Amino acid sequence: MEKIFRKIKNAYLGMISLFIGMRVTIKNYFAPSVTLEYPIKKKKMAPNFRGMVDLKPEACVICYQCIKICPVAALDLTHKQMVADGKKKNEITKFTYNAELCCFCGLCDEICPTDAIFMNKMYEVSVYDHNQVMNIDLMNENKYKHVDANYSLAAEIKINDLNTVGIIQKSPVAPVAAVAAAPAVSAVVSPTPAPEAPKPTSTNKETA
Amino acid sequence: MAEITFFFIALCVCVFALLSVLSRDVFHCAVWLALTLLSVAGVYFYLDAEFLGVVQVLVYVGGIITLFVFAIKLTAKIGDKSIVQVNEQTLAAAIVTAVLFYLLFKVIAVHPWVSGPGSAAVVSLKDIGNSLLTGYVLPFEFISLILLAAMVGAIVIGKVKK
Amino acid sequence: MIDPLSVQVRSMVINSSVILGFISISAMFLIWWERKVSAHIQNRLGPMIVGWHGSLQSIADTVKLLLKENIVPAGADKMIWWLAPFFVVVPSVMAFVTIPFARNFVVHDLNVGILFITSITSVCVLGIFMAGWGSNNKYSLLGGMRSAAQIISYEVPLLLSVVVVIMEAGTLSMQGIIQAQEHGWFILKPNLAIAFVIYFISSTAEVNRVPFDIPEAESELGAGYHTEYTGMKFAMFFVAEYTNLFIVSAVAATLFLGGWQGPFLPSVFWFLLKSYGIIFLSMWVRWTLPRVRMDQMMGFAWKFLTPVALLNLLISGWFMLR
Repeated sequence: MEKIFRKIKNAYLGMISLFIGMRVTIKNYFAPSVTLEYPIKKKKMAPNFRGMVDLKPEACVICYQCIKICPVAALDLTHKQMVADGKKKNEITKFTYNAELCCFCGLCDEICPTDAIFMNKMYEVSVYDHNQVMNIDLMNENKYKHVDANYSLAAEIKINDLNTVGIIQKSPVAPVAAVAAAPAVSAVVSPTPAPEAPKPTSTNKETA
Repeated sequence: MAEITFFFIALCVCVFALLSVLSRDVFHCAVWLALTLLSVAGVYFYLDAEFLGVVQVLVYVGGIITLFVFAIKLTAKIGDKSIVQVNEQTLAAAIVTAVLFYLLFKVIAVHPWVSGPGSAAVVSLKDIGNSLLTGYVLPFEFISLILLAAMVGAIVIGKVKK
Repeated sequence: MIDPLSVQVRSMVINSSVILGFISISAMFLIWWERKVSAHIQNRLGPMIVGWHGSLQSIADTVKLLLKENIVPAGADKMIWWLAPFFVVVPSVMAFVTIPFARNFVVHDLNVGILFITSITSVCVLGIFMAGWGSNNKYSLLGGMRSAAQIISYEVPLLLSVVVVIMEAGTLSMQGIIQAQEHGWFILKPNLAIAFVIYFISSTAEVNRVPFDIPEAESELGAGYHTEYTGMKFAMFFVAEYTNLFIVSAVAATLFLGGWQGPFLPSVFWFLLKSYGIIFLSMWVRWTLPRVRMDQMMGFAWKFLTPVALLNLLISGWFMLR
């Protein structure tokens, strides 16, 4: 008799649990979906997203810091001296970028004193021809047009300028290498506006 | 036109039965047998005996052929090689078959068959149900007892010995 | 016995052509609808690109399946392997003979209608077994044997629950059963409500749907008994599965929900609404429950459903004879 009662109770509980499950399911049926219909709607990337390397040619002071810090030697820069109005001026003759070697670390963006070289927000970067990834001419305004027809250098520059996440007040020191980097960073420690609070405390621990 | 339908169904029965007997592989025989039984059900439908046709499909094809198939597959030796179709008694068998065929043919040809719409009584489902529980109740209950005995026997044989 | 050119036969031919057209469209619609329902239950969208909300996706899938290479597995029993899709599709289509789509739209209302449907769908077992055996693949064979065992086990509670309806209606003919529900649908009676639940569970097992889809479990046995079928043969199995789903839902609508009866709209509309309502119920249950294990499934059929169905039958009969 006990067994029969237990069986009936189990059957009843089973049915109830099924109905509870079905209620959950039907609620989810009417809930809005979380799908982003990809090719039609695209998502904006995060502010610090590291896409392809891009350049503001007029801001470059030809300091060679990005060349020196790039761990895979993906950047190649040559310049020449030109004389204009009796003043000597450096001009870039060739600034190429090898996207195949690039490891997208963002070090060139971090080290650049004038924020001339930066990482843009492109993530759809497939091409059919290998040569198109090996020698990308960073001085060319339409360098990525063959990859993405909606690419515009001005738009990428604007997005980069509006990005204020983790900006260190870059003092316009002479581009002498990493030795100057440590005192420059510790110089930032004292006047600390709120967003930079986590960063200086970590560097504090290192130098202390 | 009605005869063409009947001849087609009868042809199906004969062809599938022949295929069933002459196949080398036992599983093929079972499949052709299923088709033969389905064609016989077709004959029943043709003669307006719908209940009989439906029960033929349900019991024979749905039950018995499934049983055959499981038996074939679970006894591996039968399903392996092809069956031997001929042995040394072929000549004697041929003679006996020919004589039997001639006798049957003579008997069927001599009989005056009535060909026409036929006067078979159309038995409704109600009548079958009624007669099963009034006139034929004893065989009905007896068959149920046999089925019950078979089920109990199968369960007892199939039980795991502790 | 039958004059081929009589009005009756002509109407049968026309009705069956319409129903054949309906079957193909319905199978495509059901495949799309299943994908959409499952997607919305899982908080996603399903096919959206081909046609409005992906409605032409089934046509694209059919074209793709037509263009696939036809691979015969090595060592397969060629005739059995080739015949198996026929044994699965033909009974599914044949069962539409007695389903009443509207007040006067039935191919041939046999007076053994409901029994006809049950007997014809039991021929599918042989087809599934042939598919499993002919593929010369141990996963297919396992899937085929499990499916055959499952289907014949769940036929017993199915038939027992249908017998309760037959007792209540007094006739086996489908139109007769609908006529008997003029004063109230059968599901409103308590013993027939239990019969409906048993019927729904057994029919879910008959068409190999979750929670009873061990034979074609996508994550367990490759694809079960139709692993080795490509292209159009696979499409045949797929179509047969969704057609079977429609048949059992249509039978449930006819037996328990009053078929084509309904107030203002044309009767075919009510019939389709009820059938697709039960199909939606079946899909809803599919995306709620996990899959049961094989031994749990057999135990459930023989140790629970059959005794409950028998008890229901006994009690209904007793109340009817009082």
